[in-house]
Amino acid sequence: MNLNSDDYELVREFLSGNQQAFNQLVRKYQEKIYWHARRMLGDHDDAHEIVQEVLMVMYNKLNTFNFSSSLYTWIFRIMHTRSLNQIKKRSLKKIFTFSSTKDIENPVYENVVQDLENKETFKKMERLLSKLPTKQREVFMMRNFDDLPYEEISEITGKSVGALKANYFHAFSKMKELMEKNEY
Amino acid sequence: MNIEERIIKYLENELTSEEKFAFEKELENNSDLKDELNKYLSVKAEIEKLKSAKLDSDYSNSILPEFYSRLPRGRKETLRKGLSYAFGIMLIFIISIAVLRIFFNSQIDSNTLDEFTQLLDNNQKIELLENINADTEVFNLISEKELVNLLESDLEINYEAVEAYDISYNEMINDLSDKEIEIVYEEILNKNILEEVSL
Repeated sequence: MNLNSDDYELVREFLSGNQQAFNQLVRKYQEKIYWHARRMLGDHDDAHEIVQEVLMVMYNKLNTFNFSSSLYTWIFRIMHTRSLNQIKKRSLKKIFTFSSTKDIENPVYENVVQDLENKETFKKMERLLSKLPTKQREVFMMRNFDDLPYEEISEITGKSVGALKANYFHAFSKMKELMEKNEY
Repeated sequence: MNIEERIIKYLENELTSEEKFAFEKELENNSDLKDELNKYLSVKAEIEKLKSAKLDSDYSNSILPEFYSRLPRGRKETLRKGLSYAFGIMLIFIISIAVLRIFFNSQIDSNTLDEFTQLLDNNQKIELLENINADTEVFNLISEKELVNLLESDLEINYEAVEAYDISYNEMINDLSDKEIEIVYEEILNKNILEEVSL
């Protein structure tokens, strides 16, 4: 059993009917969920929807969580699946509406990044990450932004460690190339 | 293993201790290797900057309230709704019973009135008719004599019952509402007018 005692206690409390325990879990993980979704999807609206969907799944399905993995891995798996589904939906929309990906920036939503310096870096990184294929992007982000080991990424994505390492190598090389070419 | 692979493995701590030692040794003398490594390190540096990025607090504080607003109605609400429906149905049922009871009671009242009129003598019948609203059109259609004749022929009076129960006519009249009196009168009168007309 994988125990993070805080998470364990909070889940137990929530399942006993303590709503505040759920709120605490949300406050603990909401930023991680948002940022992962944001980096995967490159869009605030989509990331926001993913956050809400993940919270809904947590609320309804925490009673099925058996602590065989960490709570974060469990949440991550949900987040990952939802993000991939959203990417597929967007791709389908592109095919059927002949529209390109959203390139209208909504200035309101850029304000979700708190400090000004990080805003610019964030936008540039978002642009770079959007140029990576989905499979490369996901492992690159999980390794670098979420600090997950390959074994855990394998558990989340269902892909072998070897395949993940290969994708990571290609992603890292591509990111270096893009920055070199001043596309950063 | 090419240079890129070595660099990435070095940065990911995937080289064995011997491979790492050899790589670091080579770095000291190989400027191309050093340049390549620095490019990868730049990517890592930008990532590190972003890892400290925080969500705006207004947005962050809005996530939970929005979640709860999207939550489907809880079990308590569902139960409350169910109880409201049940109460509504029960209320309709009670009202229906009350309406039906009033309807059937009015039927019973008619029968009671029939029985009552049978207890009246001629004078009582006339007095009864006089108590009916003088403005009714039906009442004005026939004379007092005709009324008496009609009542005599139509109503049967059970004197024994009247005496036995010591029924006070005035009390009976007072107990009847105007509507009840009108029903009695019309029942008696209309029956006989019709017979007169048919003759």
